[in-house]
Amino acid sequence: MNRLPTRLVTTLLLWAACIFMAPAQATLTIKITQGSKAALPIAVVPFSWEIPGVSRTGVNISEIIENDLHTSGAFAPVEHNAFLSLPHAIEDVQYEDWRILGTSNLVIGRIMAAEEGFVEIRFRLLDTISQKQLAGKSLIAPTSNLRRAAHEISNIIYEQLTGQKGAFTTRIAYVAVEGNRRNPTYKLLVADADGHDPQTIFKYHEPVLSPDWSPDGRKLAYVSMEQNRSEIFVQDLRTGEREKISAFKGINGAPAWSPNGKELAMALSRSGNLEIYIFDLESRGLRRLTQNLAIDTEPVWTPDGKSIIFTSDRSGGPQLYRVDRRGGPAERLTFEGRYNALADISPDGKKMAFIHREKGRYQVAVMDLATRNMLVLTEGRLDESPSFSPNGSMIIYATQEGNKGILAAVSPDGEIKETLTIQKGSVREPDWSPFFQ
Amino acid sequence: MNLIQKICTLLIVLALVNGCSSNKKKNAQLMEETPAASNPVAAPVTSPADSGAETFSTGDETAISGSNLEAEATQPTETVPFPSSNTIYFEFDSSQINDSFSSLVEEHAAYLNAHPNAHVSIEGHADERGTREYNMGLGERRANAVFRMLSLQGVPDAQMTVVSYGEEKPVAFGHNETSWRLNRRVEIVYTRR
Repeated sequence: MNRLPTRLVTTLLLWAACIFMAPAQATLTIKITQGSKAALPIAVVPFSWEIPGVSRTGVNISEIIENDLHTSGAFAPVEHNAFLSLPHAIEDVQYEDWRILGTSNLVIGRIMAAEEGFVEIRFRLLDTISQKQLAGKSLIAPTSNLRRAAHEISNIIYEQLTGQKGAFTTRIAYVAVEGNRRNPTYKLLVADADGHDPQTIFKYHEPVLSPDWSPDGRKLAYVSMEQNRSEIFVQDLRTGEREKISAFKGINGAPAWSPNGKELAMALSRSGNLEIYIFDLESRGLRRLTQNLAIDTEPVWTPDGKSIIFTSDRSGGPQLYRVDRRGGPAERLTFEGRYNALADISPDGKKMAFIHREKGRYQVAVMDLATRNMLVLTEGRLDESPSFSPNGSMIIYATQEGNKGILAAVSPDGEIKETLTIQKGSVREPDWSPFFQ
Repeated sequence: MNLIQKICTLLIVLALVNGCSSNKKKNAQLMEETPAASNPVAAPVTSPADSGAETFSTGDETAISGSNLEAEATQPTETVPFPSSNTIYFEFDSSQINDSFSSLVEEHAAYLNAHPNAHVSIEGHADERGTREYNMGLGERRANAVFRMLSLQGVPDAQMTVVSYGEEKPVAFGHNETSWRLNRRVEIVYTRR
């Protein structure tokens, strides 16, 4: 059997998967533009459907799993037409069939009947060299949410083989701008991390920006200009309840939840120019953190909750600084180039992603906070808004494709690059959710 | 009530005042003989569409005389024109008001000073390059610069509001300097003239 180039066939598979999937509200395209050289081969055999009298729904669980593993960048799925057999149960596995293909990782599964409205999914992750089972589980999943079950399986496989927690059941918040350019509709949306199932959280004909997830994943803070001025809101995602948090004179911007969920850092210009403040959500007290004539904005907390990193142009142009959450002198972190802004910190606190301008191009860069070494990760001209996944393996950001805003993702070492076109209209301002409890 | 109506009311009031003082004797005579003709100037300026208009028939053939009144305004509203433009443009990364825009700002200052009821929203903008919240700050810096210049020329704070839209409301949509320079601006928007 001829083996077509892995990347081509996989891309074709992904296209087929997109067409084959249940009609979602969004048109979805994940395009891997650069893969990792160290990607682990893995064979995912299409799961058997063993529910008599019930036709298969549009959700193809094994294809979602394969897609998840592929887009993580850590895995290179083996093309299906290379398979020499199609086992579903462990007793049907011929390990040599898989060793021949050069993969030590094999995933098989069966979908079986369960009580009304549910299916049972049994999957196994097998090591074809030791011929041992590395993971296996039976999940009872509602037929209304088979995607989530597939993502949970992806998490298990990912964690077993990489040692890292999978982020396939996480979500992203982002802003979409649709309609007439001169009078557009602004929408704040939340979708699965792969772009599926977008839900509109808020929409209006005035700008929305700077969404930020609460650490428990239950709320979003964001800026809305619905009153023709910038104001900060917090919205509960389950109840839809909105609370106006900050509407001082001037700019109310860049809300950032503290890691313990008790405080919001924000940028306010009530004193005459933008400064960083900390708002206590319990006492409703406001504490000022910076004091100077510069623009201080875009605060982000370090994961230990002890410091805040923010953008300031006190040295003449935007650079990144760190200050203790209790206040005091700010330490400058960036010295390369004349524009460094909008930091996001990796979940382990070791790396900082931010926007760096070089030769007029605004790109995503990452800095090791210990060594202060910087690496530019992207090649766009107008890249913005980097946000780490909660397992630190990918950074999602906003970029341009033609005249449209789209989302893209890059790994912190720059090896894996993807684009994610998930919405009609122009998309921007992504923020990656935390792990959900 | 718009400006025309204000002027008319003013003229009526002035005319009444003048009419009374210069033609007192005659009016007094008329009043004794024909009470219905006691406000001779009111009838001609009553709007025909005014359903509340009253018509007077005097039945008296006595001629009513008066003198022309000169239109007088208590404010110099006729001499301060509405400003020629409402947009000030800025250089990249700058909130400095170019000398070429000083006279435009002066026009707005003059108009606002002549019209104490007028109110402006000074709206600052930035081009799309760079991060959004920082651009909010840049937009505000530009709007503040215009605010300060107007303030220095005597415009009271109460007549001005400052707001920044950052890069969120462009008027030009290309990803090039031709568009960016049109978006780096402050708009002086009259919420009340």
